[in-house]
Order: sequence, then C-alpha cells, then structure tokens
Amino acid sequence: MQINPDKCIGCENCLDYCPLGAIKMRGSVAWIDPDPCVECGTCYRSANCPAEAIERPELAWPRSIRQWFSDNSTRIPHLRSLGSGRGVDEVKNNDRTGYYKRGDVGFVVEVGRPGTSASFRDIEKLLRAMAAAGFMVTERSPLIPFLADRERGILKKEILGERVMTCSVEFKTKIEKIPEVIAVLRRLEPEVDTVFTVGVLSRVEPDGAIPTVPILKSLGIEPRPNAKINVGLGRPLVTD
Amino acid sequence: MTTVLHRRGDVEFLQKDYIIKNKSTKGLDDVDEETKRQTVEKTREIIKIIAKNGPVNIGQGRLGSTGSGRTIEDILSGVTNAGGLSAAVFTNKEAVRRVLQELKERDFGQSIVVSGLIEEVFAICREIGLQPHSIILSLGIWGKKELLPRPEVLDIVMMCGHGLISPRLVESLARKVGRGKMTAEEAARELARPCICGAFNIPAAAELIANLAPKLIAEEQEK
Repeated sequence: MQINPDKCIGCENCLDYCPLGAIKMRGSVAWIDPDPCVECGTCYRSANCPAEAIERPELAWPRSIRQWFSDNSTRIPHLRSLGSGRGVDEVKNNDRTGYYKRGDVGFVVEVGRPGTSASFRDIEKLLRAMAAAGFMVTERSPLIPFLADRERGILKKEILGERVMTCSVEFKTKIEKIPEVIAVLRRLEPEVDTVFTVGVLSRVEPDGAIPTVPILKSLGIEPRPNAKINVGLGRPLVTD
Repeated sequence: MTTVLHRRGDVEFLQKDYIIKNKSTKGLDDVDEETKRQTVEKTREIIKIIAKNGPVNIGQGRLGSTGSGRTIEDILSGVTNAGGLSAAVFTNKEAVRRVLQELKERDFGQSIVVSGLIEEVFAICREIGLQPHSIILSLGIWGKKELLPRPEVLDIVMMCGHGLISPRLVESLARKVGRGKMTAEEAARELARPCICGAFNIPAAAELIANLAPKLIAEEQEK
C-alpha cells in the first residue's frame, strides 16, 4: 500500500484504520511504512480517504505474498489447486472429507493472530520445531507452495524477510501425541517475536464426548467454553 | 483459517455470540459444471435461510458483508462459484436452532459449522436430532502477549478473525463515544466495515465499546 504524497491533504483520518499502525505522518502528509505494512488493504477499503490518495500498486514477488496472506478479498494464485484460500479446512467440511478420523487430532496454529502480524522467520521457527519433533505441516496447508523442505520445516529463502497479518498452519497427528505437540508449542512461546493462537481438532464421540478435553486438562490446559463445531449436515456423511 | 474460533468473553457474553458458516468441498462440489451450478444454488438457499432468521452480520469473503455496507441481495447475487458462506452472526441460540432445523429438513448436504458455546450448540443438536461430527477447541493466545492491546480492546478486535480491525481505531472511536460525539452503536458499525467476511458481532461490540468509553475518558482525565 502507498499514499500518493501529491494527493494527500494531511487529514490524518487514515492513521487509525491501519491494524498494524503502519501509517504515519511524515511532514504534512501521511506515509505508509513498508516494513510493518502487510498489504491487507484495510486502509484502501475502509479509511474513507477524502483525497483518494491511498493507492494499491501491483506487487512484485516476494512482496506479493504479504497481500495473499493478509487480504482476504484477494485470491492466492498458487492455492487454487488445493481448493482453499489462505486458511485451512480444519473442521469446516470434515463431515464430508473424513480427513480427520477417530483417534486423529489436528493442531491449527495461527501465527501473528491477533493483530500483531508475523514474519516468515517466526513462522519457520514453528515449522522447524514441529518438524524436529516429527510433526509435518499437512499437505493441504496454504504454506505448501512456499516450502523448500517440508520434512524439515524450511521455507523458501526469498520469503523469510516478508511479513503477513496471520498464517494458519495445520498439523495432523494421533491423539496420544497431544502432550508432545503441547511441549513443542510451550518451548516455542519465548522464541517467537509475535503471538499465536492454538486450536485442537478432533472428532466428537457418538455420546457427545470430546476426546481431547481430558488430555488437555491433564496438561493443565483448560479449553475455552466456546468452539467451532461441524454439526454433521454434510452428505455423504463420513461416520468412521 | 480459524477465524471465528477464538472469540473472547465470558459465558454470559458468549450467549450472545454465535456464528454459522458453510463450506463446499473440493473434489465433491466441483467435479463438473452441473455440480458447481447446484452447489452455488445450495449456497444461495442456505444464505436465504440464514438471512430470514435475523443475523446481525453476514458476509461472503471477497464480496463483503452487511456490516461493511453490502446487502443480502448483493451477497446472494455475488455467490457465483462453489465456495460457501464466510460467516453469519447471531445473538441468540433460538435463531441458531431455527436455522439448523431448517437446514436439516432441506438436507442440502453441505457442511455447516457453528461457532459458539459448546454446551449450547450441543444441546441444540440434541434437540433437533443432529450428531456433532467434529470440533476444534480454542486453547487461546500464546507467545509474546505483551504485544497485545488491552483486554477490552482485544475482545473487540478478535471478532475479526482476519485481524483487520485496528486497536487504535477501537480506542479512537470509544473516546468519541465517551465524549458524546457518536453512539456506541455508530462506533460498532464503523468498526464492522473493515471486517469484510462478516464475522463481526455489531451489537456485542457496541456493548463492549459502551463499557470501554468511560474508562478511556477517565484515564485521559487522570493524565
């Protein structure tokens, strides 16, 4: 994103709209600091610039990856073949895909959320730490086209200097591995220069029990009382 | 992206915050042109059922949301490929029950997820004869938490799972509310605009802003 200094009237209205505080005053006009800007487009869409000074230039690789992972009004060209956007499918259509079966668990780690953004260096720290413990990012992850070495959790070198608003990373494993994954994430916490959210996915038992809950509680983790639930309306319904 | 998973607030607050999404499936809904056309039609029917039950916001990814200035008609006419509905927000469980009941009866076969209090959503499912299939639990926020805004602001910005609502805008608008220059409802509507997928709960945000506004003004006066 950029602000045309010849058009900007210095009203400062746009400054509040940037989720990352990347818009600043430089002299009498507003300016977007390109380092924290993740090209989310919020200023362009929502700041009501009275001079129409906010511009969205065509981005060259690798800066374009900022927009692909930060602006949900755009498509990521590399991901059409995966059938998803910048997100992960997690429970959304698991009743039809059966990707997670009984005994499987998924971890969805969203790096940079909420509102702090993340560098790909931090995202790679997560990938490497998980890979070293034997947990590879799922093959349907939006990061797949940007990995240099999936087994070792190494990203393509040219994107490491880029930042994105958030990046969802999904790992699939077995329920008995939950303590190992939690240990990795606990070790990672002080290592990253951002925040991340953690979601744990599983099937719901026929009696309504959630098999991950007692394991998490044994590790001293109390899940939130709210969750995202696939209510089983998909057809054909995967029941195994 | 788990955009509607990590909503904050206590149980009392979350009783006014439910989000419904639908998602089509790669490899099933896009196998040929006729299947894609049928999927688009199903999505439109699902949106109509949701819309008539009074969502406080509803949106579809690239098209925008009612909270960001679109109409239901815009959203319906803009659904042209086999994607799904990004989000529809409800402030009461009865509306969620009515939506799920009708979706069950119509049997579109599309995946539906509900984000909300586990006990309440499971109870609705039991009541209308649905078996919850899969669940993703929130373990909250980890890492360098000192980077986060104050909790009252965080509660609001977390409603946009894509992170497009600025903490600075929340505080700026709340101060205007505190000074009597706008209402909390107007502030909430302005905050909903950047959230183009429609997950932002406008009445809940208005309530939070109304609580935050006097705190910010008091802090200003103390300085």
